[in-house]
Amino acid sequence: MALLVAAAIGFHTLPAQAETSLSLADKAALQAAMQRHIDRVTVDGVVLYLDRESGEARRLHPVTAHPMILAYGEHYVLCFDFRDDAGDTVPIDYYMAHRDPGYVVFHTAVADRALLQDLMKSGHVTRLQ
Amino acid sequence: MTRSRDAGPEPAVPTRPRWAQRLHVRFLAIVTASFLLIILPAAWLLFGTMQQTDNLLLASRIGSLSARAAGAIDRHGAHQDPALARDLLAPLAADRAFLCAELRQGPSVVAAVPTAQGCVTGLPGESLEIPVGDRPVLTLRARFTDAELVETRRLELALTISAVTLAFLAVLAAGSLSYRLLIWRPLSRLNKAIALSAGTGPRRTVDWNSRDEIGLIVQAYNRLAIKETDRERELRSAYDRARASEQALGALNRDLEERVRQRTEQLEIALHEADRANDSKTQFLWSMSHELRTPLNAIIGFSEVISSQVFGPVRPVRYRAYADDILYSGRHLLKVINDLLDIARIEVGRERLDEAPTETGPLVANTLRVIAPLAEESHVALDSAVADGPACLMIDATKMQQILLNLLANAVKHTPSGGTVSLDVGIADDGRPRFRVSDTGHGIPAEALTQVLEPFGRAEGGASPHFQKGTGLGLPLARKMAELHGGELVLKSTVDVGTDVTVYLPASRILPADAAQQNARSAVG
Repeated sequence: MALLVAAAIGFHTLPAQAETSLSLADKAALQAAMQRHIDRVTVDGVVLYLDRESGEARRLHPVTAHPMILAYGEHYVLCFDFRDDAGDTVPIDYYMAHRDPGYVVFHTAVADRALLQDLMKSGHVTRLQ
Repeated sequence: MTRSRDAGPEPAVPTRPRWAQRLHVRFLAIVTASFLLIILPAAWLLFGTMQQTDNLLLASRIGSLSARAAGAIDRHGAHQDPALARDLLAPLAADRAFLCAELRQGPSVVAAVPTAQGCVTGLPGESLEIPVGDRPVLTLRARFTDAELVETRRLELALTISAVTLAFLAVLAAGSLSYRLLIWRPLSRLNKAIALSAGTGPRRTVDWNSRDEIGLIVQAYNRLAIKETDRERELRSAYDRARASEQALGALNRDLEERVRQRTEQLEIALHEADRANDSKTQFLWSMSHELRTPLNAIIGFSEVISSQVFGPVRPVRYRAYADDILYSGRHLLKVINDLLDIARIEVGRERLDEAPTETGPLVANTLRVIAPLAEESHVALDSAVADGPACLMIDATKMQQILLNLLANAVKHTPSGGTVSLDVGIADDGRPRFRVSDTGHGIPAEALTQVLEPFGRAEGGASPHFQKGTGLGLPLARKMAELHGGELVLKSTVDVGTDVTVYLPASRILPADAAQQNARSAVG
């Protein structure tokens, strides 16, 4: 029973701590900053991406913003799904830092989930509660 | 259903265990604890995850909508056209999470939703401020609330609690039903069968054919019950046989008892008749002896007169020899009659002891003096030892001397020439005074030892003349006189070795050595 109570308290307190560390407004500001960044870099509604392997500039159409926010030290990582002209989904991870009054993107990882996975494995990137 | 192998009254089922000790309750307690331990954390985790996801979705939606609105305003230069700016901000109002939105240029509001009101001071919710384009003074401020999300969470929590409760009740019901079907029913039947079988009634089996652990237990119990029933049947059969044997034995015993009773009655009647015949015989002997003595005295007296020739010589001389024979025979006959009279008197209880303190030494000396001529005539040595015996006894001296004379005379008669007869007076190991007469005669066969103690019961010695001497009254008379003194006569004999006859008197008859002299002095005085 003690274990039950402890588990209940733990599960109850974890979300509350996440909300105090990053409020709903901050999360929305992060999403807005990512959206603004995408709007700013789009050319005729698409993001152009230089593919090293093919040597071509791929056209990536913005589709869906991931609601998930990851913590990277004092910074954050957000994801956005794009689709190329062939219809394949291309995820882009945005590494964002705080700068008053909002947030800015300081690194963009296109179709490079390995980086994010390595950072998560090494514990540098954690899931934001 | 419980099936009984034999019909019979059903004894009371044992009292059920206390509430907390019932297997059902404990089973449900374990199920409940397990359920809560698993479901509650799982539900809480699920609820928390849903809450977090909703929160992130809300933040994503608000951020995205706000950013798109800010981008549209920037692209269309709407900060210079408040009406256009309001139109671009209007979609934000469609979202229930948004409370208000303002397009601000520095401290002044260019456009606001709701129109002409904007985000008034004190409005609840959180505020989001986004730069519009690259103009730092132009910002989009929006206020939004998670009230709908909170409400949704509340509803989800209620639904979760309801679902958990329903699931809990379902688990309880399923557990209880499973317990009743799988455990309680066979256990109840088994318990009832055991309770019924525990009494003196027939063994019961349980009708339960499951192949699980309970079924194995029930089958084991059924095998045991059947074995017990068979054993009881065998025991009952053996008991019936034993009872029949006991009844037969009882009948036989009663028959035997009846026979014994009848035989005892017959024996008692025969004994009574024998006693009466013996009394009659004794009375007859006593009367006849008494009647015979009177004429015998005349015969002895006159034959003695004739034999002693008191009135002159008897002619012819042969008549004197006849008279001697008559006198000898008469005296012998008188002795026999006197012995018979003594025995008869003792048997009819008319004989009395004339007791007085008697010195043993003179008694023995006188007796030996009387018997000495007979021993000398028979060439039998006579020996005596009185030193270790009591000096004085309270006895009837005449009868004691008669006892000793009879025993010594018998011994001399049955001892061949050259033999020895001895009289030993002493004190036995148990303190009783004893008179032992032993001889080196022919002895008496063991089978005749009892017979010679009865009147006229001479030993059956076949053609041997040794057993034909005497009248057969000496030993019986001595025995009866010893018994009259409260003592006993013990006869031991070995054929061709000799005979020992010992008279034991009670130890109480021993007196101090000078008792006889004091008695004599007191009698004179």
